[in-house]
Amino acid sequence: MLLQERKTNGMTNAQPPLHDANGPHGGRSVLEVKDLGRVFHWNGSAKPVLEGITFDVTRGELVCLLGRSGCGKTTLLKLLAGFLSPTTGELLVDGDPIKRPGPDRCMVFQEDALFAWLTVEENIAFGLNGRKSGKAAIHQEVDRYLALVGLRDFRGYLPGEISGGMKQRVALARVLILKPKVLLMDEPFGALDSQTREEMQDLLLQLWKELSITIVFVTHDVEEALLLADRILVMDRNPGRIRSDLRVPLSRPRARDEDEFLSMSRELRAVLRL
Amino acid sequence: MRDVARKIPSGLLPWIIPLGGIGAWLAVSQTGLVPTYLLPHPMEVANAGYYYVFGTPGTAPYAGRFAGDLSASLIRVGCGFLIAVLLGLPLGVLSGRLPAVQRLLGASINGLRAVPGISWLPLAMVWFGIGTRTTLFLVALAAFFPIYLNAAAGARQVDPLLLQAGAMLGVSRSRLVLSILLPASMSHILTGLRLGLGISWAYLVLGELSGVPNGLGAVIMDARMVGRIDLVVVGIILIAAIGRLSDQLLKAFMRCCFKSVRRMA
Repeated sequence: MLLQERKTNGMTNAQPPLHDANGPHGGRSVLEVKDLGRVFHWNGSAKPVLEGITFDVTRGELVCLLGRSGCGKTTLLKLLAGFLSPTTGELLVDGDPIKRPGPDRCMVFQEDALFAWLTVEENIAFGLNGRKSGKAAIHQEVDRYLALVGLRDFRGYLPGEISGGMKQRVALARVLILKPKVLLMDEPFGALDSQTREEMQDLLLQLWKELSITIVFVTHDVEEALLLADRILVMDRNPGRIRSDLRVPLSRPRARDEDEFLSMSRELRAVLRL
Repeated sequence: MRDVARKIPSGLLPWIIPLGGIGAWLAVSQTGLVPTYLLPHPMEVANAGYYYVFGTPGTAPYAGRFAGDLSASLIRVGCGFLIAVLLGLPLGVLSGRLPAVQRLLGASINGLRAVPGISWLPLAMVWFGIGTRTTLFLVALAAFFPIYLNAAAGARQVDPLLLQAGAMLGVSRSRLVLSILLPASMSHILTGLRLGLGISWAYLVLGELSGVPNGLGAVIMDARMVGRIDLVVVGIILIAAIGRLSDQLLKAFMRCCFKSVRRMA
């Protein structure tokens, strides 16, 4: 077993390790999920989509939620974002319960969710405009994040005029500029061609390192999870549960063609098939 | 056919039908087959139009009345349209987003919409008397429906993802409406406003036909009663031209005021 099991689904009452020595950045939990459940109602009948989800995310950690479609991983992310409210259980960010969407838990969606009538620059500045910082300060911030995602030359373009990969760069910049406590990503690169996807994965890792962001990343792609994650939470479906919580012991930067990477991806595929 | 179409400069295309129509009219009038009390000669109409627009008041019947009629009609259309916008836009956006409002208003508004506007005329005359208030009522009523319906359709088709994104970016509810909901529904809203303004002119004429002393519709009715068919045609042409111009002005105004119109519509 190359991947290291942290705790299993049965141990829902286990104390979250507050100071995880294995963590890449160390530090305390920024996100805590305790016995979370969510039931959807379909014309009269109740269907549990998520059940007994318990995990925590340490500051600076990059956690992937891996599962096949229909396992509720997107629902879980929406609960974390505050777009949905849980049926049972608790969700805490820095110890405070999550009640509604807010800039401390920003999401990058799979679909294009940019404001089509605003330029790249205006999209990135959007979340800052409501705050009380001056115009010059906003401009400077936007410049910085434009550079970080490599879109300096495209600041005046409209979303309709740029490629899918660039759109996701804008989506990333417009939330990173708000310095969220947790960055939520819902298969953000799923709709991109494989070359662009690899570019975006590299960019994400680079930003993660540079800005020390905490990330919860939803994917159904085993390679993507292995490439990105410190930890992978593998999810079951019907109802959605966390089957295993695996630490990825690969050193960074990771290469998709290393023997270790390949054997781990075989192993992870087997876990996913169970 | 395609080859023919390609040879004509596209700037010319919109003019072909009006110019052709005037040519045919001229040809028919020259033959003298149709009596002038049914179809006046184009030159006669042009002449009447010239005196109506540029003539010195008092030198001939209807001479120089255009400015006064125009301003009276513009005020009626402008106020009626404004009332329709102030009611139709907010109600439309609300019923597009809130199912409760849609259920409350939808059936009643669609029921009222089925009533032909002209059948309101007698009632309006009883309620508001002959004059500006009846015209305002008719214009506002007629323009309300397209504005309301398109605003509702526009607000309904806004991707919930955009509103979620806005909420997540920390935008307050009021800013959510102004900076996401309205821009994202803007192309529908603009369509509704343009349709509403167009129909405003139609109902202006209807309102003014009821016997007000001034206004472009009043001139048409007045001229018919005294047998000045040339002036009736002048009135029709002027209303068509002003209707088109006001549509262009509306578009320019919206472009000027809203980024979303400049960039999307």
